[in-house]
Amino acid sequence: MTGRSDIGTGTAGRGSSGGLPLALAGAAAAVALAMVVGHRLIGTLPSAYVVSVFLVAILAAAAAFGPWSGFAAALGSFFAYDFFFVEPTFTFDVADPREVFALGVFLAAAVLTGVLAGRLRETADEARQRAETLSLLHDFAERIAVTTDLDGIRALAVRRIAAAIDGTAILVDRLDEAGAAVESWPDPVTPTADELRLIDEVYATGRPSEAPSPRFEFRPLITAGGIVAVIGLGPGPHRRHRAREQALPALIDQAATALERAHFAADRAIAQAAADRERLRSALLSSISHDLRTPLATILGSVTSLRQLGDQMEPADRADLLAAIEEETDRLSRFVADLLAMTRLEAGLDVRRDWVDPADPVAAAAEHLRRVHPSNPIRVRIDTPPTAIRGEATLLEQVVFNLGDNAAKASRPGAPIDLRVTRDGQRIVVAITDRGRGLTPEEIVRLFVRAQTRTPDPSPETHGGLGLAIARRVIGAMGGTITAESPTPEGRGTRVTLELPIDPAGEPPPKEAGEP
Amino acid sequence: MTRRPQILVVDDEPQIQRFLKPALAAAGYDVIRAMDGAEGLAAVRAHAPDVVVLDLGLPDMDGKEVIALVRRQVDTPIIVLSARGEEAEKIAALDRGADDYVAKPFGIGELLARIRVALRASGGGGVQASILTCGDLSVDLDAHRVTRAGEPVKLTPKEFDLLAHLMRASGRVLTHRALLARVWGAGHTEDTQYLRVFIGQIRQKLERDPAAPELIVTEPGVGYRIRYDAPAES
Repeated sequence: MTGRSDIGTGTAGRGSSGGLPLALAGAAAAVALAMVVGHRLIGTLPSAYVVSVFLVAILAAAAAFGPWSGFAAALGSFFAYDFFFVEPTFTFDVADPREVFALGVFLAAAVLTGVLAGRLRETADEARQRAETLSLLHDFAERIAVTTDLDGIRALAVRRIAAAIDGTAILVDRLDEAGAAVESWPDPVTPTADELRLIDEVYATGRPSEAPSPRFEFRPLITAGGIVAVIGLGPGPHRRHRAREQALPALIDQAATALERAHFAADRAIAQAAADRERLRSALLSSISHDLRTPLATILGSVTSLRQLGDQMEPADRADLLAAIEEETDRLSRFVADLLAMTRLEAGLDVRRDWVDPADPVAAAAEHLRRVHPSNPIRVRIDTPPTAIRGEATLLEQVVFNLGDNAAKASRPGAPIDLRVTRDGQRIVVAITDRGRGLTPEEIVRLFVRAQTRTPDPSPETHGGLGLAIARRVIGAMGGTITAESPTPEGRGTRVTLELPIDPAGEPPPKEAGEP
Repeated sequence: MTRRPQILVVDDEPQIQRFLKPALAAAGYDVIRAMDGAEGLAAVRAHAPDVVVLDLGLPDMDGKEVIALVRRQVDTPIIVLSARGEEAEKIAALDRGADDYVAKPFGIGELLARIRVALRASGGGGVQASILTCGDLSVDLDAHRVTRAGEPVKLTPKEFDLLAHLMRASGRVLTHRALLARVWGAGHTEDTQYLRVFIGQIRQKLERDPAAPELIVTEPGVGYRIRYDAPAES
């Protein structure tokens, strides 16, 4: 009985598909071991017991190395038993005719045992491989299901497929005419011109490349909807993981489905973005047309009223109509300036990058604000030595004016508007603060994107207008940011803050020692 | 003159209100202001104005909804203020029961003319007359006779029908759909080419220069109106 334990665990562990040489070597080893054990036993037990030792050896070889090993062990055992243990020993002759019958039975039993045990081994192997394949696929499916971004899916697919072939894999995902996303694992790979032709061919035919490139075999990732991407399978150092290779077609299928899903999602996102842009454009257009029409309607209406009915009007009414014309003309000209700035930015024309001391445009904007909003004190405080930022002074003035204009509209008569310029590290901070009614968080979000479509303009007390959309773009073009908070830390009103980067090259040179 | 006609102006733009009030007052009307739809509806109930001037873009509700709500209570003439280029909006407003429109921006004369037409139409009486006149054009509805400057003009029955509807509206705009439904029947409301052809034929027979029509005014994308000439309140 010792024989079984020796042989049973000896070589049966790994090597699921070692090939015929290993099977024969295993068979030889098993038979040799059986002979040694049989030789020990022959003195104490009848020779018939030795037969069972050989059977155990055959069983072990078959179980460890498959049916061929079992068959070889059976033949080997037959001859070895005949040669060493059947009188006359050390010949293949058989003295006792009864032994011939026994040997025949032994051979038959040996072969049968060997083959059957081997089959069993094969079936077990297959089952294990199937389980391994399934768990591999399951794991891939689970991971890819929770991956939503295209890059993530591409990376995961190419890694798993590379692991499956135990080599290098490359995924080529064409986005449009312009380009393709290429992902490879484990080594970074750039397709050669020949390989690109093969990839084109796979894309065109939807079939694996027929002429294999020296490096890769290209296969399509295909779904019912068509070809999704192309995967190149490079020869691995050793492709011997059968379970993983069996998983390959399914892995490729799953990757195709996941990629297709991600493509759809990406297309949807693009369509969504386009729709958003369109909605914004139409909202902007309706807002612009309203902002242009109202002053025009007021001007035309006032002028025609004065001409046709001026004689019947009170002097005070006539004066008011003239004032309305003046105010609306000013409003219109500001709006046209905004529109021109917007058009310039839209057209991709850059903001000029002059040296600007932010204190200058802020002072100019304050001057303009005092004219338009005489009832609100405009208080300016510059808490920074002369500094230079890169930008365009007139646009910056327009932005500060727009923000101050909004602030004044949100304020009661007499309530001050504060314009303050400070320095925070390498940034210039311009804060426009009012003491008005303040804004809800939602209004702050909406502040910069005017999105109402039906009802045109908000009442004049609210912040709004084209000005803020422009403000954000202008400040962005100057490398700065614009934020709003309400209520202010002081507890009420709204503060809009511009932050602009200081250009170190524009700083005044450090004072020399000894200079005042 | 007993009392000055009252005009309710529903517009959320203070600047528009600012010039309309003195202008309409100088033209002989009393002006009531409303800054939004709810205020406007309340003013219709409270003051029973003679004409409502309504901006379609209101902050609290759609102007077309205001029209429908006013129409449930009274048939006060409604003149809509709307932007140029918003033909669909104008037609929808007219379909809901608005009587006429003025496109912004407008000269005060245009609005006053519409207000006069609206006041005359609601003044009653005139529409019942069997002989309608407009300048030197005269249309006898009973006798089916049309004269221009005393000269008889021969119109086909459909042409006469079309002209009679425009005359009865006495200066108010009639939409393509409304004219087609009344003259050709409800099944032909999309056949605007009929209208173009027949209006063209009428102009050939009536207008001094058919290429520059004076009597039948085209409101592009909306409909047609008869040019209203003021001295008709006899």
